[in-house]
Amino acid sequence: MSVRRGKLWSRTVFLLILATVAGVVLLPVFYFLTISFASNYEAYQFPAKIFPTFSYPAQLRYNADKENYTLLIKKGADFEAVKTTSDTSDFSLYCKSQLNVLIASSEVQALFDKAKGADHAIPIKLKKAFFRNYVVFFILAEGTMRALFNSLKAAGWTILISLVLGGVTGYILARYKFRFSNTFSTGLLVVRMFPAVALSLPLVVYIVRMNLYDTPFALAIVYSVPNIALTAWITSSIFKGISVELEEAAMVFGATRLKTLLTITFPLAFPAIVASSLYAFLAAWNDSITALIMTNDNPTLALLVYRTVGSSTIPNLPAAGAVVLLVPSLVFTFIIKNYINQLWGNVAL
Amino acid sequence: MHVSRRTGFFKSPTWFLVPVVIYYAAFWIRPTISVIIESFTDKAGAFSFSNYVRLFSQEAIRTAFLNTVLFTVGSAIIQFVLAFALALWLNKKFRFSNLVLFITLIPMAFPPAAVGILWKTGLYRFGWINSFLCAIGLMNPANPVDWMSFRNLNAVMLLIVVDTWTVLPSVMIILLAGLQNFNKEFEEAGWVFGANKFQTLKDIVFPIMKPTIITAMILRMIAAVQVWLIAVMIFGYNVVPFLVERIAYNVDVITFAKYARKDAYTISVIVAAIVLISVSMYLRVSGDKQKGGETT
Amino acid sequence: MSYLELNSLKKTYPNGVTAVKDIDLEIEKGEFVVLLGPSGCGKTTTLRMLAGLEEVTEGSIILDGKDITHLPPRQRDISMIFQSYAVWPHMTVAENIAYPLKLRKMDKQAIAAKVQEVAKICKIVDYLNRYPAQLSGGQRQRVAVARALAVNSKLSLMDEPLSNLDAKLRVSVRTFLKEIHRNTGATTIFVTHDQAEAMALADRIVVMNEGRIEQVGSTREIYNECESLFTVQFMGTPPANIQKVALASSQGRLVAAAGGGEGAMSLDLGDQSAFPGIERLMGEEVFLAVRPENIGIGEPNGINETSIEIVEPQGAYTILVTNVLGGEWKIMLEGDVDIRIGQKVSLEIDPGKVMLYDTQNKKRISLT
Ligand SMILES: Nc1ncnc2c1ncn2[C@@H]1O[C@H](COP(=O)(O)OP(=O)(O)O)[C@@H](O)[C@H]1O
Ligand SMILES: [Mg+2]
Repeated sequence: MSVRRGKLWSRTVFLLILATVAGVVLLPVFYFLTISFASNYEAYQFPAKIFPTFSYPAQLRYNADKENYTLLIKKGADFEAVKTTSDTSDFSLYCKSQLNVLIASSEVQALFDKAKGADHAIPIKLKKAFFRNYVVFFILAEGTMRALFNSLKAAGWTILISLVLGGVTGYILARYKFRFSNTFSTGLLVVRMFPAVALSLPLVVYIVRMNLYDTPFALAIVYSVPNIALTAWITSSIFKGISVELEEAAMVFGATRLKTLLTITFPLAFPAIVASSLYAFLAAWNDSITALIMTNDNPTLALLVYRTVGSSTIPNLPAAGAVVLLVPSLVFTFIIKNYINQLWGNVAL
Repeated sequence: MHVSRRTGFFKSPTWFLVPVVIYYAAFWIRPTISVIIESFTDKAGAFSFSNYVRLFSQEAIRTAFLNTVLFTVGSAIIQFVLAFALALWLNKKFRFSNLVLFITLIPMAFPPAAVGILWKTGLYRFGWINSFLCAIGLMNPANPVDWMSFRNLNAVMLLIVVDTWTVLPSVMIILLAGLQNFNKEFEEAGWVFGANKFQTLKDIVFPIMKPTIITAMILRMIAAVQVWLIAVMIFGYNVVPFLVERIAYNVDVITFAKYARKDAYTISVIVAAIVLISVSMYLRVSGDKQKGGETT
Repeated sequence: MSYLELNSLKKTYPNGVTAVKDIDLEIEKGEFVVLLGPSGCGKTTTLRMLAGLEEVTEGSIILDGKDITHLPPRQRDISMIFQSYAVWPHMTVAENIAYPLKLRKMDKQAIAAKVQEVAKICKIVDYLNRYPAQLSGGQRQRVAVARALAVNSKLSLMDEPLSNLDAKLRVSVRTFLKEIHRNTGATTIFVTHDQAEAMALADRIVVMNEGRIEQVGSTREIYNECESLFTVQFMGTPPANIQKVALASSQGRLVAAAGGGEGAMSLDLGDQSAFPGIERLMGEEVFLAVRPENIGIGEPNGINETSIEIVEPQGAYTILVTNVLGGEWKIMLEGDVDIRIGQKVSLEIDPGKVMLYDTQNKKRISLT
């Protein structure tokens, strides 16, 4: 009896924790996604919806006294008047800009005629162009696609620099004890202690001198500074997790050190190293402040999103940009969850 | 012996560190030194403490200092407790544990800009947080709270919550890796010999996990002292000052003000000093004596 | 009512594997019981259920008159030696031994005295202030023993505690554990897959296979009176010679035949009078099992003639391999025997030691 009750109890607690964790993470994410699909009209609604809508339950009313038409959208139990006009193109424009509904003037005319014929408000169906915010942000707005490519380039270079320099450092820290190895790893830690924002200022000067200002490569150089250190810790953890005996066995059977590295160590470490590049990727992909200082005509996507957050009062467009920003990071996160142990299991600062 | 030593010298793997050292000399040490020098010179280029004196006389900097300390200590404690609890929970394999792990990692992927939008749209009077609270009946829709009007300590606490949402996965990931490496028999031996769950955690799991905990907490503290972006994204500049927020303010907003650069550089040096001091203090307090010597 | 009772114990892991199917066992106070079986047969699972480290799916465990089936480990009053020793790396040897005593709220002086006492027994007095990382595997193992010894628990559990030691150390620690048991009289359950270890240590051996008990008995019973084909196959090095045969009678002698038809081969098992009640098995197929040491050789005399194919001298004994009934049989002779490869001999089987097993249920056929 008591056993069964104990089991039930622990099961309940377990489900409660599960619900809390999932809720705390997913609730904001769902609201965020919904905002990215929201029209301007919806973005102002309170309480906000957690799931996006595909169409509006709406009515069209003909006001005989003023000879114009009123669009009403359902809010709670009632219908709220949102737009009154007699001009079809005005109506069409309103639908496009505020409701994300694409409806041609001719179709509006047909609706108007129908409403005029009826003696009460007629129900109409307004279907949302679901990906309108994304289309506006990425295709209609200028420079977004270029910014996306800049972000990709910056991230690619950052991963390359961090992995090559950090990976070599990590391997050496994992396999050799040399005179300054402790000093060296402490040094790697200190690198992260100095605020990166401040370093950007003198770095800009060097970058300009190197003729790299306003390029994704210059950004990668700056992003790599803290990331080489991080990559070094993580890769050294990965290499420590690969038994030295495996390497020694290869050398006993006649492989050179380089050959051992290329044929034994590297293949074993490869998946985890790919996962570790998440950190370099995230740093480059998500940064906006360094890009703010270091670029002018060639912003990154994150910077673009950051700027639109500041300039627009309605968050739906930047949210759409941010969702796109989020997708590759999520893919990386999905990969990384299988390598947690290799990445961080043997980290020693 | 002699020969082998010489080839050993040339074959020494440390040579492979040369590119990294050069990279850091060019892109870290050089700018860092120039920042430090700038912070200790006046406009004319003469050695002086005037930058520090000027800064410490500013009310905003003292508030920023206080806020930074509060934020660092508060977030470090809260995030450690939550991350450890979460890691312990996720370390138990259950049916969909892999999926749950992925879900908990999602916030890690959020760019600061997205975190800004997410919480800004949540925290304002008609945002989704209030919508949710109304939906589950915890708030009266007629009278929603304006979270963004929070100031001072309340604002710092709010930022700790937001920051925790964002960075908890990165702390948790490190602790989880440590737990996965942890030989379960150590813990089981504790239970068998009479320790309850809490005693096992306190006397066995924590001490053995100490290096991992230290790693996670140091990385966390370094980042926490440098908090600014979420504060600016949610509240804007000047509302809840932090030290690095002050740097960004000088760099980003009042770029061309008379002392903007000097102030930015000087605060950076102060921040770096604070990080260094708090990390070494943390190491001292947590008593990181390397026990056991050489492990086989 | 016995001191420790396992009643229809069953364990199904969350992944669906049923590691322990149905275990019924009674153990008396002070007994040294060994769970013996091949790897994966559920020994560790059984032991962990006893320790409370694994939830029991079905059945119950009664220790000293108290149902402990669902008690947490700390309320069971047990001690355990783990396979990896689980000597806590952040505590010195002395702290490791003292920790369980502290948990039992023993006072400081008593703890110190106890630590000294067990350290002396386990010969680790010199290492008391060292950390486990500074000890060799054998020394760590002794710390684990000392830690278990220090608590006067109701039940002492050991999961392959010797498997990580080298062969020589294994034998000496084995003797040491037996000595400790003789002095303390602690009820002990010891898990191993090594039959030599089991036979050397056990008051009683429990042979397990695929989550079930095959046989329970003293070393002598388990070795000589194997109740199932599994036990006879599992026990003994080299293992017993086993062959599927048909029994027949020929001029008052019992003959086992294999192969059938043209290539039929037969083995003379001795005078039929040595097998009372064998008549009902005539013409039946059975499994025949004969241990290598129960076969002797003599000058070729027309009965059971065969030639020796391999000779493996081992010093104290010699193993011969020959072809019997179409299979490779091993013969074990005492001492260093002078035999050449290819030499013709006659096999003499000790009729009293021949074991027969049913081909259907694989159980021993008792003749009387
Ligand atoms: N935690 C577990 N989860 C699922 N299956 C397990 C677990 N532990 C053991 N098993 C399975 O149970 C069976 C018995 O294992 P175990 O008791 O460890 O055997 P033994 O100790 O006799 O070698 C094996 O098939 C093993 O794979
Ligand atoms: Mg086992």
